Amino acid sequence: MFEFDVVTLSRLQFALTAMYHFLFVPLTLGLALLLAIMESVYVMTGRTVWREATQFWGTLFGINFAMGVATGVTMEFQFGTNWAYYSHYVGDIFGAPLAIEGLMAFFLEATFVGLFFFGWKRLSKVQHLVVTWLVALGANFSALWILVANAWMQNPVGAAFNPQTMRMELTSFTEVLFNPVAQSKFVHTVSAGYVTGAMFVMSIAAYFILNRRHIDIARRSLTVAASFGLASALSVVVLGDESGYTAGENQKMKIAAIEAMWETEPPPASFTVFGFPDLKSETTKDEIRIPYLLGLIATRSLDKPVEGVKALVERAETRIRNGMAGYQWLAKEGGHPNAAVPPELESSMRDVGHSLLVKRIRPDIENATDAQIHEAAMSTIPDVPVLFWSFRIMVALGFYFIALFGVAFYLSSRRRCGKPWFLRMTMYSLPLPWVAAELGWIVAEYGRQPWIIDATMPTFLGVSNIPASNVAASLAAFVLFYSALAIIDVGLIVKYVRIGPREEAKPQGSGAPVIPAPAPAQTR
Amino acid sequence: MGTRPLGREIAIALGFKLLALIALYVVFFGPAHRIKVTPAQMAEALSATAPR
Repeated sequence: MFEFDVVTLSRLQFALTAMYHFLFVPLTLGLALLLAIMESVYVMTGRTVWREATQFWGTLFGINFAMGVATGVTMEFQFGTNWAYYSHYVGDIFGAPLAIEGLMAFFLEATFVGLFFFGWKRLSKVQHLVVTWLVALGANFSALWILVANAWMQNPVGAAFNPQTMRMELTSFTEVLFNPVAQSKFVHTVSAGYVTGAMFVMSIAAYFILNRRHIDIARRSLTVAASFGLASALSVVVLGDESGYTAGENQKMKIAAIEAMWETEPPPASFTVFGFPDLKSETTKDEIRIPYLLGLIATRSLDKPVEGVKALVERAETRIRNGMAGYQWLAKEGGHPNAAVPPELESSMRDVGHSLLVKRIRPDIENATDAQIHEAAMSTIPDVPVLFWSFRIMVALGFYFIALFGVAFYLSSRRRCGKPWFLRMTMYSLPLPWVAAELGWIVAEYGRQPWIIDATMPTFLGVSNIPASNVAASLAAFVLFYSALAIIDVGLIVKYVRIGPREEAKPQGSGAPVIPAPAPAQTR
Repeated sequence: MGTRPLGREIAIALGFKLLALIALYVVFFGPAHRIKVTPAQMAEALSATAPR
């Protein structure tokens, strides 16, 4: 099934580190904003219960931040060793947003996280509130730059290939920044983070109410999280739809694979809610479809077809053939100091990326047979069943979140949120936003295959010439490292949730981080 | 007072993480392990006689 060569192992290692890192990111994004909202209420009303709530959730935020910080830096380690060819090819573009993220957003966030914890007694109420908002802003900026870099891999705009340096070079930073994929991905991802933060607060608040502890803070936290979560869950679905539209514009194969849509769907295209994709017969069995919906999602119209897998494979074949002349020129002239693409080859050069797919099958690609070209074109199909099911589970969870937050909002607005069934349901829903977020990344990144840069560079050409055993060894070390970190993180969070919030704000002369003390099982 | 235990626990965890990251970097990803790619190597990779 899997061949554990250097390509597969490098992909596995990057996927592992990215998915692990993304366990922390959404909670930081969501909780930072919830802290800012709760502290704003404290500053506006002057009621200490809101400060206590902010400090309690701030403690959990601090643990998550401390455990999560720098877990993403290991991905940057990998660029230079496992992905040297990719790094050379795109470093000019990819490096800029990553550097801006490190220099601007991360330092903004990290500095103000320190002030948030150590500034309760040293700053005025309003100054501290500004600090908390800046923490939230920094976290969001951080996400923006990372997603700008990622979106460029999905839709490489604002760059041109230079045959002299054999790399993509930046032609327009504005185009990279305002890449439509980056914009839709950013808002979709951060709102998923807000859902995660809201579910985290709501679940722990439900746990307190069920156990009749810290009722005052728990009820208030649940009310804030319910309304914030409802708005965020609605946003995730609406903005996810926008993400689907941009993918429909730029990555038609990804949409076709998500839909398990083998044949081109004539207008108005219908959406497959459920079915069983069968790779052998290239059909989807027992489909349940909603008329018109796919046309609206993918083309924003009812009169345009949505191309299916087979039509897109045919198009890939055409592009492979078209890119051959450009490839032959590049193989001969590429890397020379005076190399310049002849005008008659410009169209062919745009399809060289497709021709390079043949290299996986035979090295002298200019001699490829029709069957080999067809095989290379077939490799543009991502893993249909994985995408089909990941997408559907993610969407189902998205609608579940809307329903749960909707019920929570209704019950808390009527002061009836103490119902045990609702509290238990909320508590057990805690892991679900992480499941949805990770599935979202599987759809986005696994769905980009076989490309490391869409329609430009195949993934297998981005890896370094290193022994697979090196990657296997570092992968094993990462598994150990991240497992240990995960155990410490969950252990600390569980411990401080059990301790609970400080019921009475006590004067603190040191200005040190405010940590909740164990509280008696009572309500105020 | 719960300040010191949490502060200490986070400091220990961060110290462990820092050491682990440094060890990972030195053992697997340091300058000695980094692959430098030149334009000529990139061109060669694209026209190589065997898939890597």
